[in-house]
Amino acid sequence: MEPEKEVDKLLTSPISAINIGVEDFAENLATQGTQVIHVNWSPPAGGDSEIIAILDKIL
Amino acid sequence: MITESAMLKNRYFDSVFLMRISKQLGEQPGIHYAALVMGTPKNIEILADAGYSGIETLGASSNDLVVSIKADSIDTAQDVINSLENFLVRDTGKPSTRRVKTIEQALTQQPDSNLAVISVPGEFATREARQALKRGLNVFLFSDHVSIEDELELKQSASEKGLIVMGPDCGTSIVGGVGLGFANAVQSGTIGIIGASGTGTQEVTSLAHRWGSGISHAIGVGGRDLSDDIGGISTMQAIDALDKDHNTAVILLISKPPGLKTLALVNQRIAACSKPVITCFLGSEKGLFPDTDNITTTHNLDEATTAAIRLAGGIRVDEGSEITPESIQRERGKLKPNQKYVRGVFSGGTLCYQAQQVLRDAGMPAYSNEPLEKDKHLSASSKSTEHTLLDMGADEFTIGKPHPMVDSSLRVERILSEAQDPTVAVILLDCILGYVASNDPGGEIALAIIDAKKIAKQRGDELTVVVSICGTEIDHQGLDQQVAVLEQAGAIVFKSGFQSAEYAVQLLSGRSN
Repeated sequence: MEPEKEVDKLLTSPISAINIGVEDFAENLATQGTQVIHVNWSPPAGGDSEIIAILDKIL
Repeated sequence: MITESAMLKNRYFDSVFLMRISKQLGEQPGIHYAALVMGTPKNIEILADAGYSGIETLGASSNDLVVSIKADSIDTAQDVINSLENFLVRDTGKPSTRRVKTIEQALTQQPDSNLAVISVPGEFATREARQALKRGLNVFLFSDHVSIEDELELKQSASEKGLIVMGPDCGTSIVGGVGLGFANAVQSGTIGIIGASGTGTQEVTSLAHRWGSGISHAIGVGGRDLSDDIGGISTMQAIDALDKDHNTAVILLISKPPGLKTLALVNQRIAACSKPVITCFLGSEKGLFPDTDNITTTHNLDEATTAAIRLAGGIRVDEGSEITPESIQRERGKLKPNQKYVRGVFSGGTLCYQAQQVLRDAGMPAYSNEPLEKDKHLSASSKSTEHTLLDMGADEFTIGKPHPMVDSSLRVERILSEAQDPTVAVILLDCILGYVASNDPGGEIALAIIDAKKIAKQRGDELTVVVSICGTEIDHQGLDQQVAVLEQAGAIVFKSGFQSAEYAVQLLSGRSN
C-alpha cells in the first residue's frame, strides 16, 4: 500500500501553521482556535536581490 | 497643500498592517492623503509618480518604512509624522500570536507544523516557499507576482515530496474547517472543493452553507494551475487527496477553462475517481464541456453548488431571494430611455468574471479590465464604456493601494464616477464578508450608494444599484446586518453573484422604452 502523503495527512490532522508575512492571517488562525506561530519576517539582506542570490548559494 | 516625507530605518511591517495605518493617518485633521509603505524601488516609484515629491531622495531600502503625507501645512504633516510611533502599535483586538524570527525557530517551538502560510511580497515569495517545502511543510501561498517558471518549480518540488502548494495568488482555502486567507465561516459537510479562484471558492462555500449543506475541504490551487504551463499539478494532487478523504462525498472543481492538454489529463484522472465530480469552468460557452459518467458540468457557481448539494445527497434549502417580475417592472419603470448600460465595480475577480459571462450569454457583452474575450479589453481601466464590469482587485488598481476587500475607498471613488454618466442604468456591486475582510464592507459602500443615487437624482434620473453579498450568518460581519445596511441605502440585494447579474440582464433586456 502506498504510504500516506503529507498532503493527505494535512486533510486529516489538525492544522499547525507557520505564518510568514501578513500578521492578520496568523491572528485569523488563532481566532479560529488553530495552532499558529508567526515569523517576524523582513526582506533578507535588505532586499538586495544579488546578495540574496549569493546567500542562497552559500547556505 | 504640501507634501512631507520621512523614513524610519530598518522597520519592516506587512502590507495589510500598513494599509490600515495609512487609512488612520489619512483621517487625521488637516491630512489629505497619507502613504505608508516599505521603501522598495517599486513603491518609491509609484509614490513619486503619484506626486509625493521628495520621496526619491530619502535613500530608502526594502527594510525601511517610508511615510509621505499630503497636508494643509508642514506643521500638520510633521505633527503626524512625529506621532507615527503611536500609530505603529498593533492592536486589532484579536488574539496575539507567538512570534519568532525565523522558520527554523518556528519549527523548534512547533515541531508538528504541517503548513506554511506565506504572504510576503511577490519577489521574496518563491524563496520562502522553497524553504518551507524543503522543511516538509505544505504551502498556502497567498503572495502574487510569482513567475510561472517559479510556480512550476515549486509545484514539481512539492509533488515529489508528497506536499501541496496552494497558490500562488491563492486567496482562499478551507482545510478541515479552518479558513485560510479570505475564507468565510461555513459549516462542515461533505462537499470537497478545488478552486482556482479565491472569490469563486468563497461564493460556492457560502452558498453551500446557506443552502443547507457544508464543506469538507476547499483547496485553492492558484489561477494558473490548470494552464498547460503548469499542467494542473496541484489540482491533480487535490483530486487524489479528496478522493481518498473519508469526509468528502463529492468533488467540485472551479476554474477558468483549462488548457486543452491539461483538460485531457484532468478528465482522465476524474474518470478514475471513486466520487462524483462537478466542474464549473467559468467563462466557457455553455455546452462546451459535456457531461461524462462521473462528471457533471455546470455553467455558473449557483448551478455548481446546487449540483454538488444534490450529488452529495442533500436538498437545497430555498432562501427566498429570487428575482421577482414585480421588482423588475418597478425598477424598469424608473429608467429613462437613454439609461442603457450596466457598470460593475467588483472587489471579487471571479464574481466580475461570472457577471461578464451572464451578460455575454444574454447578448449584452461587457468591456472589462479582465475580459472574457480579448476584444472586450478596456483601452484604459480608468474609463468605462457601454457595459463595463471592472475587477477593482486587479494589479493596476491595487499596486501601492489597499485591495478592495480590505478597504473600499477605491471602489467608492469609482461608484461615484460611474454615477456621473447619464447612460448608466445599473451599478452592479459585490460585498464580500469573511475572515480578514473589512469589518463593515456593506457600510463602506452604503454611503457611496446613497451618494450615487443622489448624483443621478440631481439630473432627474433614477439609478438602480444591485449588490450581491457573499457570506454567511456566522461570518463576523453578520450577513443580515450587512444586507440591512445595503438595503437601507437603496440597493437591491441578492445573496448570489449570479442572481445579481441575472437581475441586471432581465432589467435591461426586452425594454419597450
